[in-house]
Amino acid sequence: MNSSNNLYALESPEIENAFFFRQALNAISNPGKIFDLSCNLNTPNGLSKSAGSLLLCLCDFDTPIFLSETFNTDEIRKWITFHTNSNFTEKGNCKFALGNWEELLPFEKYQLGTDAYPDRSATLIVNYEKISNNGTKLFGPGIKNYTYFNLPDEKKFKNNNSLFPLGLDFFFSYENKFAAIPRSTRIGEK
Amino acid sequence: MLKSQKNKYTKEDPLEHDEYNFAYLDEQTKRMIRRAILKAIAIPGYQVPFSSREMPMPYGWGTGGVQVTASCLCPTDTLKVIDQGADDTTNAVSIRKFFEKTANINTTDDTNSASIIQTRHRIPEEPLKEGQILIYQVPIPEPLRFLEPRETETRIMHALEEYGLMHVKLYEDITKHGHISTAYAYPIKVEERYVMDPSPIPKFDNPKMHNNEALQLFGAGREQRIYAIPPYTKVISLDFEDYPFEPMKAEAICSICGSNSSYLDEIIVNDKGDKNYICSDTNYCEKRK
Repeated sequence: MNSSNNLYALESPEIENAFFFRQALNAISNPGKIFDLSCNLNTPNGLSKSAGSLLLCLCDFDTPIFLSETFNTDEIRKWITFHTNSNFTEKGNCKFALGNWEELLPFEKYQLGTDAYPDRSATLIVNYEKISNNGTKLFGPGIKNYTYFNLPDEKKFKNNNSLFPLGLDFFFSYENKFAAIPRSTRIGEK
Repeated sequence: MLKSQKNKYTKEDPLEHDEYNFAYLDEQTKRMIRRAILKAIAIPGYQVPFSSREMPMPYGWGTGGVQVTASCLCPTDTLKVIDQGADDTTNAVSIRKFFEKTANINTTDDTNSASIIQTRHRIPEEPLKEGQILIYQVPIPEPLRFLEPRETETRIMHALEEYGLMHVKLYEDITKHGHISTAYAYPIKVEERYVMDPSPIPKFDNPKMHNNEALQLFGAGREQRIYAIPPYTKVISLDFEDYPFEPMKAEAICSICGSNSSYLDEIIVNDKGDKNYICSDTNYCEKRK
């Protein structure tokens, strides 16, 4: 395959997806830590490389996706359909959601899991310019002592963590950068 | 036993590339397992159901661990596989060969230089580091299974955080034997929420799970469950105030390397029943010799 041909996002998907997933794995097991994804991934206008990499290594026909207004373009929908064969759906049915912060609200609409099956919950991929390690103090599994992350809304994440073991898991992505805040991360002081 | 660099996975090398997808599993299966792994990390200690595949080895030989390893593996990884601490036993050797063949990755015996370690029933003596992944093979993932055989019930018990039965079991140990006699698969509580089966590791290894720098993943193939302990996670072994948890090992030193702190295997050396003790972790023992 020719990497200059925009049709193909990846040269050898089995290898690149393995690397993409490893980054996602590192991110969710080190909440708040910012990872840099340097790779040749052709994504359509408006879709960051990091968000694209997550969709490629995690999504398929088993995972309906919710696209917020900004991301619900022909170009992005076609790209996702071509590469993952995922369906598109509303907030309430999605396994993955992609959008800007404000467009993804309110969180009550998503599947939060059930007491018996807390894993049946949505994962939100937030397009977020302000990824940085300052701001709110974070504790919890995967974090040595504590770390900081510039959360868009502290209160909403506190509330999400208070639902544990239910709740939503978040990836923040912007261009090459991404970080994760799973539901297990505690916000503010211990 | 370090494998030479010649067999690095490349697109140009058609040798074994054409026969298998990278790391044996097909991409759709990997995605399904990868999603389960991410949820497992987000909910430490909770068992995520996944649709386990048939692998080219029998159940009980680590099919769960193998599927988790296959889904995490990158071509740049160096894999170590141990069985009861040993690198050179049948199970370890065959799984290592399986991934050499299907993923063309480098393998090693050295705990320190491995990026992924698949293990059956031990945690290496050498402390693990940040960035390493320890993948356990799990026979029975449900810690409550022998106390309550119905999956529907144990699921409700986990949902309600109803773990009294487990304490009753440990209490009965004390009434029968005068101490908690459970010596392996000793139940743990992860982040003060889920009671979890650490897989049949000796309870000597339990304290190593607490605040470990490495990511710990658990795969149960036959039972179709994946669970996880992220790095720096609180893990406590269940006990009582007046009968605190005590890790246990044979009161002896290794007859090869002289270690008095490692977990030991007992070996009967003659017909009279004389015993010898050696380290269960062969790589640790080798390095100290």
